[in-house]
Amino acid sequence: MKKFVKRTLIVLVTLVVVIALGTGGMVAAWLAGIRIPFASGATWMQIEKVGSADAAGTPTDTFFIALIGNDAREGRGGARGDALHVVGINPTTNTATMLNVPRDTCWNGGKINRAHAQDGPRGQADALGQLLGVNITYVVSANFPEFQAMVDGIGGIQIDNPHSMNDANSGAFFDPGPQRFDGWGALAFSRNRYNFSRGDITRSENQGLVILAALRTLQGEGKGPAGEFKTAALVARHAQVEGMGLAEVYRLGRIAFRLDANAVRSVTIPVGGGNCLNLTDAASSLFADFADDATLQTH
Amino acid sequence: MRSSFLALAVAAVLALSACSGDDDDSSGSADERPTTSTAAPVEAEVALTRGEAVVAGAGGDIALDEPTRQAAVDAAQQYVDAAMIAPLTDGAVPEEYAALFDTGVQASAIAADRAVLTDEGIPAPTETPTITATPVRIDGLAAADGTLTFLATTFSVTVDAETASGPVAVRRNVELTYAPSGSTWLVTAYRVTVERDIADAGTSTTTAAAG
Repeated sequence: MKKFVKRTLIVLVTLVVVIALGTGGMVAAWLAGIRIPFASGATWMQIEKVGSADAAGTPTDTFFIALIGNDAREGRGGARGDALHVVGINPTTNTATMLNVPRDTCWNGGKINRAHAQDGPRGQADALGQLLGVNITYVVSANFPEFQAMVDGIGGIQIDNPHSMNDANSGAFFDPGPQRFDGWGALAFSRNRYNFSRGDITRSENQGLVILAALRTLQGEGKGPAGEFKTAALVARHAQVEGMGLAEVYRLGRIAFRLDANAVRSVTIPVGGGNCLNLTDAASSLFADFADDATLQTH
Repeated sequence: MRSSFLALAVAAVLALSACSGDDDDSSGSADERPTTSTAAPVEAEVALTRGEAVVAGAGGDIALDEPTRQAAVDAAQQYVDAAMIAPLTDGAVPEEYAALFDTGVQASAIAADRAVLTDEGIPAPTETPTITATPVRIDGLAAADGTLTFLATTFSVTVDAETASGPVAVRRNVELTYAPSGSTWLVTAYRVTVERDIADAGTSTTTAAAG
């Protein structure tokens, strides 16, 4: 018994000393100027350049970005697109429009979100581009844990919740009104569909609120080069980037910083009811209005 | 424990960031003085000084080396000399002005935004103007391996001058972002706001941004 107590004490003391030395060492390293990434190793998203665009100089051409939330979770393969949005940006006017696509939207004889399960983010972006009639240049995708980490990593987001939410499936129990969401809350807010008569359609609208709230939060990091560099570095630390370099990430961020987040139109595409949501007749004119200059003139 | 440390680290960085504002000088008002006769060449100069330097890195924040700090201030000084000082002393910006910008923004810098970026066209001073500048804040963006991808300088310059038509006051807030080009840094983006108070032309505030 004595031997056991002695061994336990030795282990405990060793543990305390190691932790103390480790912490002291890290603090010393910090003070010495060695900077440690905010959340070393944590991935928040994947960014892939899938089309051509020149963000150098003063870009004038409209371009489109697919924002995809997928439902990949541990032990579950074949992730589908759970949140589907396409943002059109017009750098000439510094304006943007976001079309929210319900995941149950019918496309090519099935739900559009299956494209992600078949061909990943790039395949999902292709499907969205074909549906809306635009060429997608960039794809940004995140799964559930990545999304949570991202929202937590930027310190939460402020959303004016338009609904009363009481949904055990998603874990969304929120009063209406302005409130701050952490990663878990933002995910629950984004996933809730059972509280709404329009189900997936209202959920898509809510996801649009989350995206614009995240944009406002990042813009709030600071105007000017300091804020822009800080944000670009933050994204670079936490994103797996394909097909583009840090310079392009920065230039895209600079364009995003110029947008007035409060003026970005967030429009959910017109679909009917049922299990597989078919586009209504109003869709084609909306898509044409969106595709020409990423600005809605007649909608 | 690690997460606690990281939280402390984040708090420290945020606190440092919060303390990193620019030092803005308020624009000085020119004295009311009798106008003098025809304008003659005057001397004018301002020496920019280094302010805070911060580099955000994809692999974590890093320190900016001394030569690069000086290169950033030198680049800002070149802009001030060409865009603000030369118009006061010579009445025009020199040819070298265009070469400060990369091809992405050069066209707008020398044409559409010229009136905001430079003081070409303001009345000629009749005596040595008073010119002051805030220290130049330097920001950098570095790749994961520490290679600098962009540099930026942020500063304000104020000019108070007497001219034949009365006092002239100019206050310019300048953000210049540079990309490496060989061994030099060229302006690849800018955001400039200029407030002018010119005796017989009134007060105006204009902004130009590109890149």
